[in-house]
Amino acid sequence: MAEQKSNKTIISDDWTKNWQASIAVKITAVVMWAIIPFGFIIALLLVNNIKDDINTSIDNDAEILLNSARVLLWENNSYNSDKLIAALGKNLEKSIYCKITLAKAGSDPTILYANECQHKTNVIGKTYFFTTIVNNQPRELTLTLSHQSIKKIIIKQRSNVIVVMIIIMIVLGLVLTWVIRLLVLKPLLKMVDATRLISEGKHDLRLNLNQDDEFGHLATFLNKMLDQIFEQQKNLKHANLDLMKEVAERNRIALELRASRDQLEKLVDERTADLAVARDEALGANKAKSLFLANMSHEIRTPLNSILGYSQLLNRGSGYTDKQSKSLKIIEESGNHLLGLLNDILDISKIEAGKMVLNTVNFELNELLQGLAHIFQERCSEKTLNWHVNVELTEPLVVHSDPQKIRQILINLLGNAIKFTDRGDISLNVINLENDIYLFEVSDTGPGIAPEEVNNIFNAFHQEKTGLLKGGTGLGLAITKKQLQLLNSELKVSSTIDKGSRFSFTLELKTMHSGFELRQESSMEVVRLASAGSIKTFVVDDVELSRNLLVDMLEEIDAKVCSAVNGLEAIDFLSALPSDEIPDIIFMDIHMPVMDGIEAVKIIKEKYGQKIICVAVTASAMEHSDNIYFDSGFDDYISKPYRFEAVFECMKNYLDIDFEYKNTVQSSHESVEKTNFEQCDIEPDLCEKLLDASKRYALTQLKKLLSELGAYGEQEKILARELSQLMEQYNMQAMVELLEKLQSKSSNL
Amino acid sequence: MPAGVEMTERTFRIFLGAGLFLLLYITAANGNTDLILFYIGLLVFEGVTNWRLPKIITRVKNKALYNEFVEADSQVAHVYPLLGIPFEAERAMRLVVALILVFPLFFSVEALWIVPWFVASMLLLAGLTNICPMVMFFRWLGFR
Repeated sequence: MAEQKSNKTIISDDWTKNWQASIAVKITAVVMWAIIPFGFIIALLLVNNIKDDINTSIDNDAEILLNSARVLLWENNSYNSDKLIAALGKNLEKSIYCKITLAKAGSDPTILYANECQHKTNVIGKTYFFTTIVNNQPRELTLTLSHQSIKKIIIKQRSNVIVVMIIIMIVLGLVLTWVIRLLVLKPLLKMVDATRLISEGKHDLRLNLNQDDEFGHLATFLNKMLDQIFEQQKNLKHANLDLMKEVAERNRIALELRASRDQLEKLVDERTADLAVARDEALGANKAKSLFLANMSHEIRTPLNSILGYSQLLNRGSGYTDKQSKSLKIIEESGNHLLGLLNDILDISKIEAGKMVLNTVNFELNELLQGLAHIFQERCSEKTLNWHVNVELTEPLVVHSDPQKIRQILINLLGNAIKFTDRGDISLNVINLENDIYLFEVSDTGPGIAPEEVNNIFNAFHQEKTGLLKGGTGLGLAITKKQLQLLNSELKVSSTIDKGSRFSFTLELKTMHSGFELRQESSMEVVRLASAGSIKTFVVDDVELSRNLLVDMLEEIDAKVCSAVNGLEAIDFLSALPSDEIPDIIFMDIHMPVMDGIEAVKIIKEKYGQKIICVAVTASAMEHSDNIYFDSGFDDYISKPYRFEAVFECMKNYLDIDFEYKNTVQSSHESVEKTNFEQCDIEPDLCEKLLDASKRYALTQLKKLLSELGAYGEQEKILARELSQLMEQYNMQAMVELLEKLQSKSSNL
Repeated sequence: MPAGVEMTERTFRIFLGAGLFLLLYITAANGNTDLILFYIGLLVFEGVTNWRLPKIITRVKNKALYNEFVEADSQVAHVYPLLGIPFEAERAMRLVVALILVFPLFFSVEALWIVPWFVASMLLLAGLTNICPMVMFFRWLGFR
């Protein structure tokens, strides 16, 4: 564990306890623990031969002593002279012997040398016999050499060696440790101290090791690193300062923002309050608009009903001059145009309110298309446009969808096509793509739509330049688009400037093969009731014109008619009638003074039940749901302005009656059959062209060809007129049959 | 801590090593083994009773230091709880050293003459370096 003192770092060296120690201790330990065993090995090597050395030394010393004694005795001629004893003693000082005795045979031994060691235990003596010349006479002598036991000597010498080695090794180890510490530890400690001081805040301090070794490099790199760190720290300080400034600035901005937010919230609250007021005003305005539209619709439809109704009544008559007929036609067309505009406005209002719903029934698609073709063929003729119809459908084709909307969509598209096209062709193509998927395509050769205007043409009330010139409300395409969306389809437009436009959409029309009730729209004109006076009708309407129109119309078909001006009068009138005079059907207006139609019908239904059929006749087209009429007790309803056919159909549906019809189609066909065209000398080419145009539904071309045919003679003129009638009735099958007969006759000739 | 008061195991090991050297040298010189026996007796006494001289001296001179001494001993056991033996490593070391010294003295095995000298040098070295391999080994085993 590191401890820091004033200017030196102390590290614990209690390695035994916690296995942690300073580098110094570790160096010492490693060196000492390495060198001591090494010293022991050397000591063992040294003492290994000590016993042999000692034995050799004893023998050598004995040999030396014997030779010395022999020589000294010979020189001195006396074996116990002082000189001899001193000379031998001198030789023994360096030997291991502790006692030497010399003796001649038969005499006492003379002690030549003895030290204190001779008194110790384990002293071993060895006697050597030798011969020498003393006083010129050979003498037999014995030399006894005594020394300590060899084991003792060995132990002592080993101890000396070990002690010396240990001392040498310890000294050597300490020196080595000191050197290593000097080389390693000193710079290391210097670095440790320096880094400690730097860490304590002395950032200007740098390591000063003037060594060209690892420590020197380490110090250099450490200094560089410190320079970089402190430089970065300095930069960081600056950045931090900048950041703090920015934070302060942001705080200031935040405060300002908070203040602005508070102000904004205050403003928002004020604006919200204003908006709430504005919303209430807008809702009020919208309500007022709806009320206005409803009222206006009612107020416009009521006189319009009279205009269109009396036009129809007048058209049923005969004996008019051409000018009168034309005037009647203009009145009817103008009324229808006005009705169209009104319906457009009401439709867009319904769309905005999200109240437009599908009214699906089973209907014959060919019949719908033929009716449209008939209408637009005439309109194309008026503008001398070529009218082409290409309907690739099987006949009869009964499908389930909303025929009113499909008709309205096609009328809008075809009406636009005719309106904007001054010359060229108008085409209606209906193709069965697959199973129940049908492609409807309306194309023209008009001025086209600029690419930038294509997306705008679907906006309500939007009209491009040409549209503004041609007039209109600008609602047609907007309504068409919404109606197609209701039918799960989408209107596609492709247009080229000065070449024309093409509008197309696909519809999934489920084919009804069996078990359906086909809504038959009779094309036959009702003349009168099959049995005159067979039904009693009652007309209740506060508006005299409307009331009189319906009364006149019902009288026209020989129905018994009575009338009342409001609901209360109607109830009083009914109450006064005997039971057998009670009317079969009541046509009742809704909005009436004193008592309205809804209240009156409730009372009537309560009293008479299903004895009297009640039909609402209303100009209130803004009431988006029919349920309110049925909930009140009405059996059916008719919207003003109405076609007479709608009234007759309603009567036929609820009453057990029959009508006499003026079947124009059949009568025309019969007249064609009755007419003898054998005298007609029609050219094969012309006949071929007529046949081809009839098969292609090329009505405009047919019209031209028929004009051409009429120019051939009186008989051909009659034939052309008959064919024109068939064409106007859209009875192409009869035309083709007649033309084929004429063609076969012509080829036979 | 006042200087000169402390008698650590390290210091004691220096004394033990140096003393054994001296005794071995004296014994080699005069063949008297009484002092060696006394030395072994001291080690056995310390090992058996745990009345170790450093502890006793420290306790006598500085009781606070003695408490640290005992505390350190107990802490060591938590550091290396391999076997968790409730016996101080220092005591074990003394007994083992006594055993090592007894063998060459009483069984007169010539080849073992070096062992007492080696033990003496190890003790001295352990004191000088403060690293005693035997104590470290015992601590590793789990002695306190």
